[in-house]
Amino acid sequence: MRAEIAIFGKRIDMSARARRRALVVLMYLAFAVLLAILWNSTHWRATGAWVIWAVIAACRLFIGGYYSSGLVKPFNGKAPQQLWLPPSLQALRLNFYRPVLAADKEAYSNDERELTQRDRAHYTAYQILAAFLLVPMFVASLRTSSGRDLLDRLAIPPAEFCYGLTMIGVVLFFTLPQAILLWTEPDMEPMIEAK
Amino acid sequence: MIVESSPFPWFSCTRRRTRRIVVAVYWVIVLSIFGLYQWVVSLHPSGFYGLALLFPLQLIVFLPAILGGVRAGGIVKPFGKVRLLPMDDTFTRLNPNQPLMGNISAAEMTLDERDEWDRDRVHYFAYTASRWLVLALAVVQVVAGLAGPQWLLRIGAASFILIALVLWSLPQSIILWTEPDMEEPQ
Repeated sequence: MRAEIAIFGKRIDMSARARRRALVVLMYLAFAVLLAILWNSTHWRATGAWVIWAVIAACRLFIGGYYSSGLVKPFNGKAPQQLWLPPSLQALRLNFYRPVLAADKEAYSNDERELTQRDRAHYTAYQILAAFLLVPMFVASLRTSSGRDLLDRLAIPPAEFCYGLTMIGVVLFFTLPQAILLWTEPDMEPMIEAK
Repeated sequence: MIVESSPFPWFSCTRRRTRRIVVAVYWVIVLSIFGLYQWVVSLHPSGFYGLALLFPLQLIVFLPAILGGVRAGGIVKPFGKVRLLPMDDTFTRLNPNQPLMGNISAAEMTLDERDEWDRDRVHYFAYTASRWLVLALAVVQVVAGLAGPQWLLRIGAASFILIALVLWSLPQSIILWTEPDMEEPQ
């Protein structure tokens, strides 16, 4: 795991566990607000894809895991793709361009300890998501036993209930292992030198 | 990761070939039930949330237990710590090799360090596969959401059943498929 993130070229120290935990809480709050806004606007019908884009942005910019940027190193340990073309002017202006050097191998490859942590985090996330699936099962079984149930009382059509749970599922599937790692990793040595 | 004493008295699970046949048969049965269910739902869309849902729900809850992992008594050792009743616990501590569930002892149900490492690694691969499945189903639902609510309901509920089947059975299937031949118990 990295001790800092770079957003638009600005380096932010995330070596303290409290900061990483705050980031996790803020991220899930942001997703909750986004889902609530999209529900109010279109019941997620035309805007469901925005959730997927938001998840990709969160992984790319903040938490990592599936991309070379972000706090958690790429889970697959692959080096980021290097284009042999010069970087675009926009990438340079926004400070997105980060060349990969041979000496940067530590920044993306996982050692044995990190691989063990990665696997354990995925196991924990898997158990949480398997338990999360009991929610629709429970609601559906309530619906089989009585004509009127929780969804009717809340005035949520079953189709939109399923759709909403899938969107929550996408958010959790793409962020939960990283969130577990960020939450549990103890304080690290800061990478940014004190001035 | 696999119990040495087979939970099924009529065949042994020590050979990888046998376990692969078990996994193949399991998935054929599960997917057949899923296909049959989808067919019934397409014939009677109004009864979708009626009794038609009860049968697959029961199967989804109980089928993975045959493979093990999610609970004790299957071919794969339970992933979590087996919680025993206080009396059973005392009984187990006094005699750990005594059969506790069928012909499987409490000692056989406990994961050692290597088993835990295997379990976590298998879950990593299963999680990666499930993640892509969930993303694909979400994209299908986004498209269905644009098409109309009737498609959203049908695809949404089917997606959940499919995800539940995969999520609750995939790690066990990978373990049974990949674990090499074991020595026959004496």
